[in-house]
Amino acid sequence: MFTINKIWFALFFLGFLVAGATGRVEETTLALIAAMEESVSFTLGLIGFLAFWSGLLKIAEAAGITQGLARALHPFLRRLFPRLPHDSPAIGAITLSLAANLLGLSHAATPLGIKAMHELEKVNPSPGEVSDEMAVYLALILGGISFVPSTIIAVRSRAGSTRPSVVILPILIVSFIGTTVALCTHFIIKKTRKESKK
Amino acid sequence: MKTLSVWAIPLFIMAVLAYGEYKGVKVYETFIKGASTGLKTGFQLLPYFLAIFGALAVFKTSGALTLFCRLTTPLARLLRIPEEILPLGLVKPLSGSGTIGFMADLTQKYGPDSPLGLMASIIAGGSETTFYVLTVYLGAIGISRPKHLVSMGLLGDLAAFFAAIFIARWFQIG
Repeated sequence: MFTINKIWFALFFLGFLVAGATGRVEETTLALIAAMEESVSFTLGLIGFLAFWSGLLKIAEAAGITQGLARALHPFLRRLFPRLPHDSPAIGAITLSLAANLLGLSHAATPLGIKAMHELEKVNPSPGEVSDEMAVYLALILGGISFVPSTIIAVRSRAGSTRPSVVILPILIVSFIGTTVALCTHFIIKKTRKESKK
Repeated sequence: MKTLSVWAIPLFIMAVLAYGEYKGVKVYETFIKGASTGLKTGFQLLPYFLAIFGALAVFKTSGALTLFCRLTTPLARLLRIPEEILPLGLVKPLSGSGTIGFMADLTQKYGPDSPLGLMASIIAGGSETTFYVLTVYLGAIGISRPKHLVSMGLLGDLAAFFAAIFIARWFQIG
């Protein structure tokens, strides 16, 4: 259906076709070149953050914080990741990353998430391919469940809202629904795949 | 709330360091070890950012995005969604900064506490940026084939979008 190859192709192809039709070929090419430079500066900006948090997390791991957190969330995570042992580094990393997302620490969440993906890749039965655990974990991340949608609240108060945080509960409900649908989609696709293999 | 979010990161850092010290971890040396792993991961992400930022720049600057949004106006009418809201839903999975930009625009134009402003806020906060998350998280471990994850993310976005519209309406009556 929506493969990344087709979407990526369409963005470029349709983009340049429209640019031709609207006479914005030159601007579009310039924007593309600017985006190349932006990618580099964005990566450089991210690297500092990523490296710092990776360093801090290494301390958390060595001190046993990750394992402790994972034990606390065990009943919930055991159902979602039945194949991962409860004291595995992967579960610890997933727990930390979910905690950061729930608390709205969006800057910290990315390095934590990448760490979780690395741990999941280590226990991946077919390395280099998306595992079931990765799909479940990414469904949780993509759903974006958060108790503190900090960016949204900031934009609302900048726009002069008298009640900027009134949207917290609706956002929580909405992201819960989105996450559930993503999880169900994964489980349904997984099931139909298995059946077609039989 | 504001103090809490200002203190969140410092408190997190202090807690990790304090607990590490308490457990006898060589905090500085361990930090360096972890940070050098993070550095490698960071560089690995560049090709993925190039791919997605480049494609989005072309699609936006050419006017294709605006055209795409305009083409969907009849669809918005059909689904009884405010015309102003649908483009936000379309940009949402593609671009985080685009989403915030659209939302800021709508909240400024109609007021953040107006029905449209609330709806825009709930949509913008209701899910993560699917393409960004998949790019970064899969890119970090060198997986370039996302399998069914794009469909999974987009269906989640779709559900969140309609849920947001429904809840925003219900929220204003109640």
